[in-house]
Amino acid sequence: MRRFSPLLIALLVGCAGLGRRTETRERLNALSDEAVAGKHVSVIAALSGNSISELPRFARSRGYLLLGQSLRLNGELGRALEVFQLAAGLYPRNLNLLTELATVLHRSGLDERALPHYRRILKIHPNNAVSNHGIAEIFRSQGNLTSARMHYERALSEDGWDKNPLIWKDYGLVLTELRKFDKAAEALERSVSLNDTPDSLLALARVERMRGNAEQSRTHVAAAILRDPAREDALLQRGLWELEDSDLNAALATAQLVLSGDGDHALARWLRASIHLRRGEREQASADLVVASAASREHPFIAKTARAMLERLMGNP
Amino acid sequence: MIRIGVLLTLLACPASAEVQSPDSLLRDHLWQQVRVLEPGERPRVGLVLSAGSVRGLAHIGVMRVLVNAGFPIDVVAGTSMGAVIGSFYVGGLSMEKMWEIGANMRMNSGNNLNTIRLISLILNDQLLSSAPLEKLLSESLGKRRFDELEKPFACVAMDISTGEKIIFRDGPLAPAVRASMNLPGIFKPVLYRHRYLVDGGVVDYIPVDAAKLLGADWVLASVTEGDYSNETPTNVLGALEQVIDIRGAILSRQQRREADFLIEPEVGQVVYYDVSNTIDVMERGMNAARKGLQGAKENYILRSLPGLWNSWEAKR
Repeated sequence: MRRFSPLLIALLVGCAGLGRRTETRERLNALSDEAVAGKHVSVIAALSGNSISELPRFARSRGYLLLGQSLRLNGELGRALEVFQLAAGLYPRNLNLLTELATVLHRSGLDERALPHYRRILKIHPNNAVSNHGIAEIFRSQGNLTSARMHYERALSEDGWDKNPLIWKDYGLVLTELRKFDKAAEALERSVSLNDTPDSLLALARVERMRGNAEQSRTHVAAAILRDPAREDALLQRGLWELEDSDLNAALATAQLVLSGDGDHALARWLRASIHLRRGEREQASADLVVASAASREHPFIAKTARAMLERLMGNP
Repeated sequence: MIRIGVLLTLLACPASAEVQSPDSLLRDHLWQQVRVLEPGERPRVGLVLSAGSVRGLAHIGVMRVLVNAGFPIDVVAGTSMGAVIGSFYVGGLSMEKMWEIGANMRMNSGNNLNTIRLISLILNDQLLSSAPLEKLLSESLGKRRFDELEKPFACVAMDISTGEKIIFRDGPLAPAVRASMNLPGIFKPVLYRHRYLVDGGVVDYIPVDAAKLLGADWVLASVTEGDYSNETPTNVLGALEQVIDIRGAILSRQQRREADFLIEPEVGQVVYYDVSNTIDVMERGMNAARKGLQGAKENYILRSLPGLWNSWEAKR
């Protein structure tokens, strides 16, 4: 019996270690479930202070990941960045931590610092969808549309990512800017089919108009207004298109609808002035342009345009 | 763990509505109308590309954004590197091809620089030849003449005997562009049309006047000046470049005022011969153009109002 006692002790210690390992894993799984359920505050509370350093070594990187993600999703980008910077220094080969660090840098507007991290991740894992998506967004904001398009396509080719309507919408907007209207329409239709938000419907309406499909464009903008009747930009977009199509009665009705909520709305005034102008009602046009030109602080471009039109109306081009 | 990471990242995608501002709605509305105006009904757009050696590669990024945005470009004028990039564009090279050329640029692109010649330059005052640039241009664009280009184009050089500014807008393209990019102190003056010519950056860093000579009514200038304020040159070439930069900056004050809109990529710190990161230089051009694009559109729309007004009045 005495001969077997060290083995027995080792076995007991091993079992205890295994038990602790399982217990830690279960605890972190529970916290992961809480994070997915949106209970970020409770995850942050559970992992703050010395909690992570008290975790067994094997579980610490996961602890940092959960804490940082919860901070990010709770809108605490500054604290999330601190956590990920520390963790990425401790675990420089952990792709999840590197990805999160790059994402937080990007969301904090620190794109120049995010880009090298994303690029490093893609060197290790070329199909990493988060990195492809992050780089696509950065390139899009920089105007590097061809490269943005390529990275959106790579992100969307990953399992699960093709179910994200926001990425399809952003991809569609990049294609629109690249003037690839047919492909843009396809992407935006995909986005609408996954979730018909006013944003995606409006984007699709704009592309259809550029493709010359005025009828479909009207249908989509109507659907956007129906989804969110408070969206003034959708109403005004419809009004501007009605003006372009010389459907002056419809455009006037749209302008009046917006003005019924805000009598001094600069763009609605500009729209109504343009209708008056086309009808030869110069005095009414002038009256609306005077109001629109006063909005120089909130809407400088409308104000400048209105002022220039007013000067022409007064015979002083 | 990866699954959860991806899930949480997906959850983090911005979901807030992207409401378009009234200013932006009106800008887009009027932009569509400006773009379909006949050239005579809207101001003629001149794109001006400044000098700037390697910094001038940022023009490629600027142009890429303008072209993607469907910005009308009616005439082009350039000096030095601006002349090279401009000639590629009016010569019909695609943006992708121009980007590729920029990305692959090396110290000896367009010249005969090698170790022996560099030693010769330093020890024997033996200037380099820029003839390979002419060859490169002829290979890329064919032996084209100015009147065979897709758009009117002008480039600027300086007569080293008289200090005169020479604006080229006719005859063979390649020798004129070569003369425009012929850095004094490094390359031998080019003998062309009975004149000894060097880089136009010395007298016309931002050739707004050349664009106006071609008939531009509205000028957008891409300016890639060096930031010499913190630089102390440590060699002959650096000192020479800095003097050219300072002189160019003083001369360009008036030209800046004459342009209707400026796009200035943040490339001031890029050393004029540093080709180690040309992609970054081009991306900086894109970034600046992206930031300035809406302002440029608004400025141009306001200048186009008379043409728009006519079309509105016609609908009455």
